[in-house]
Amino acid sequence: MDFGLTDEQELLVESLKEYADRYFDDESVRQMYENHQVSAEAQDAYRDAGFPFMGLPEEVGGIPTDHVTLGLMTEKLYEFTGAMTPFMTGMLACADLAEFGTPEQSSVIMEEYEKSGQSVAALCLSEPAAGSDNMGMTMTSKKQADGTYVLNGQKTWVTNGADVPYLLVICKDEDPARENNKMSLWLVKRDTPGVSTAHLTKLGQHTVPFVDVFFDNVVVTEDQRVGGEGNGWLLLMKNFEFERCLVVAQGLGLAQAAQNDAIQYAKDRIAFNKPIVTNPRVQDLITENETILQQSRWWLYYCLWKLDQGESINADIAMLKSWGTRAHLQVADNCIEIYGGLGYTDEVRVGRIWRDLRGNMLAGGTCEVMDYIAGRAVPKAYK
Amino acid sequence: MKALVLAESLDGQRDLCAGARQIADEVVLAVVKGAPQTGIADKAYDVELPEGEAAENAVAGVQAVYDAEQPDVVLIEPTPRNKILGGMVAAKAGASVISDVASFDGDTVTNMYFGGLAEMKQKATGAKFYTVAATAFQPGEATGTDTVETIAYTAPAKALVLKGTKEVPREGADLTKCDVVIGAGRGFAEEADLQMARDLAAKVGGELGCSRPLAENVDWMPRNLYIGVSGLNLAPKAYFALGISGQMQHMVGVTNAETIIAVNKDQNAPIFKQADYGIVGDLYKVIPALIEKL
Amino acid sequence: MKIVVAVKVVADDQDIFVSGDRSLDYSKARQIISTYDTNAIEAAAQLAADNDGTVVAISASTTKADDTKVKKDILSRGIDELFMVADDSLETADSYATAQVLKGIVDANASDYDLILCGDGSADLYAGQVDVQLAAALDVPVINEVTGLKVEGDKVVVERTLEDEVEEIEVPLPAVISVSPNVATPRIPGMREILAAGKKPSSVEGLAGALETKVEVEDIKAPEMTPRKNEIFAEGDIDAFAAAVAEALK
Repeated sequence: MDFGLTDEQELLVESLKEYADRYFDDESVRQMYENHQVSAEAQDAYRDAGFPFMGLPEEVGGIPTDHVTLGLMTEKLYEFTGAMTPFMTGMLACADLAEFGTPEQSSVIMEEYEKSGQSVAALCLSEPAAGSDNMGMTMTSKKQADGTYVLNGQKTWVTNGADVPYLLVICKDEDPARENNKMSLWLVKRDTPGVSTAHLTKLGQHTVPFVDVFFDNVVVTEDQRVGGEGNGWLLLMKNFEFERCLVVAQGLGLAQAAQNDAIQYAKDRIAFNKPIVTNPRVQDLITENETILQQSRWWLYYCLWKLDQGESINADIAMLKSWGTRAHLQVADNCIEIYGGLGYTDEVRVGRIWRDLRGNMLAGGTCEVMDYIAGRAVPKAYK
Repeated sequence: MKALVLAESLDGQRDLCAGARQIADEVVLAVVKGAPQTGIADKAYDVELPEGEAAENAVAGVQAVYDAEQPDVVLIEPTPRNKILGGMVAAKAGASVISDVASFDGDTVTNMYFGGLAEMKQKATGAKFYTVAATAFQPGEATGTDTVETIAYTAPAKALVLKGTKEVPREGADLTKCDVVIGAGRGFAEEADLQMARDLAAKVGGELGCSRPLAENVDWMPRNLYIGVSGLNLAPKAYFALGISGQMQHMVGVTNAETIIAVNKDQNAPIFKQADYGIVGDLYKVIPALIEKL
Repeated sequence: MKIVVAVKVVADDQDIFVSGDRSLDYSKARQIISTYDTNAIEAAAQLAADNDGTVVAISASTTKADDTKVKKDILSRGIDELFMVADDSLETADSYATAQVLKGIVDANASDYDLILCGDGSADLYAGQVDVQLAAALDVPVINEVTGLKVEGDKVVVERTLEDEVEEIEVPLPAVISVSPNVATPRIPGMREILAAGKKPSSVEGLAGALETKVEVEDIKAPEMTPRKNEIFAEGDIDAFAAAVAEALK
């Protein structure tokens, strides 16, 4: 079993490190969190290095990349920058459109994407009354006499919703009732009359803000429907597994960054005439962290490898995301502990990482929903 | 033994001629741009360079001096121009220039490997050409006569054409002349904080230099004040390393300092093993306190 | 336009350790492109792109340099082809010897070159002489400390930055030019470039004959540290520290 990286993967990791060293020093990251966005230079450099195109199909100008490499890229980008960035989410939206959309729909998005390399489409899925309970969504599309459709409703927690030119919205066809399981995906320009957004203040992850998006009698046409009528949910579900892998990869990278900082600190910090790294209680925290990092890492790459083999990882990733995102938060919590009082300030970044990681537990589905998925699926895997 | 010194600056001419006396009986000096100083070598050559010509085009003149004098060893001031002039003569003689020689032991010379991580002892198997700085020698007097011979200019077949020059005002003091030098490193969080280091420099009658990150990564100080490998090599009476970790690449620039004084908040920083006096503490507290108490 | 860039592959000095007997331990050191050569590679790649030219890399390094990852690294930076001669005797080869090997590579593979670029100095020896020796061997002009280059027909006009002055010099081609690190910031190779690197041509040959060394290396050891007093004070002892400093400054 070869756990090694290929030359190309190693060179990719070196390029990511160089990228992070140049654009994500402590002060720059602080500014990005204050400004609620990644700096323009960092965005441009990311685009210039071709990173946004990894994982997209060749037909749309992408660089086809296997899931393992995309996971590696995400993990390392997050470890080296120590920050949340909107890049992978941006790529996923383009990937969805490349896969489910018509060539016209895809090229509209790719044209924007190529220019900026930035997130161009935000997914609008959850609603104030429908988070885990997706079927409870009540936003609707209703066909009009003239053949157009009118969208009405409210979406929430839309990542980068106020900053992107396009919104990828899922809503019920005609009838908001729970029993109606026919939903369609629509590609809507954010500046369409009737679309408005409202700010939400997150506790962390400030570089990837999310917003409420309101749709008041928004008119769309048939050519804006992505995929077949009523199929929206099935389409989105296809990529949930990989998206969950990326949530874990992001958390893994951030948790690793926190561990890197904490161990360095433990070696430098003198208490009772010795570096605190010699203290068994500190060693316990470090080892608990390392156990979590290694376990989640290898399980993650196993899941990504399975995706590369064309296999479903429905139960695996549900379990990994449920356990892993909580465990990564624990890693950051242990790192704050190692820093002591200093860890509870903004002087060091482990506290910011801790806040970011708490959000990861909720991203891509709550732990409770993950447990529900796994709980039903695991016994089925046994004869 | 006869040494030919190829030097450019006034100090370089004097220091290398004085140094040459320590390893050779006869010292000959060749200077390309401008007239050579007299009284520092047994014979000096003024290698002519017409106004507006690139210095490197005078290689034939330097070659003529080499051929006429047949020195046993050539000492070259390591300026970019001399590296080409001296290097060309070495190449023609089927020899390599051994760069940045730090000390001599007969035919065996010592210089640095991997920026000071290690020292190499080498011996030229043929003609001996070295680039060398003043710090390789014991301090001494340069002596000599007034004899100057002019070598006429011969243009090379494929000449460089100097289209123009612009003076770059030298920023900062000449640290090689200072008794006390203060080095500022990455321990300083902001450029404005360097004022603290300047205040200390003023208090102790010293001048400010820096480690590479401050000159190249953050551009807080001009490159000519960078101390270390491919930067300045100093031997002051006292060197203060403030917020400097003590990496070899920097420390090789000050290993010849009489006294090294370090301030760093990291008890395990390598600087403390290379310091005479050190204090483990916050720069921002120690420096003002030190200024007050001195 | 045909550009050649000389690249040295060396051990990463961050991973070189000093053994008890002060000898160097390279066992954990991976091979990398010598730092300042990445700037030369970038300058060469940009010049080729701007002048509709081609750029090849030449290298005289040890057999450890024949490493797929480091070769791909070179080829992912805008280089069309790599020609390497690998022999362990090249590890501490002097500039004369190295230049003869590089000349051999140029004569065999790129004899119709217009320009050869070199870095400021290699990470290990930092002699800054290979450019001069190579120019002498090829009988072409050479200039160093170049921070900017522009092709003008059969010449290159360079900005040459010295300590006190900046010169503008016209260099007739073919020539050898040594560039300073500030000439260009190395690009961050993206996945496209990294993947393409594996498909670009590269060749590695052994030395054809003995190396013509002109310098004999007798010993390489970590330096003996000048014994220092090592009187280290804690932050609270600022008074004692200040007194020691005052005494030292007398």
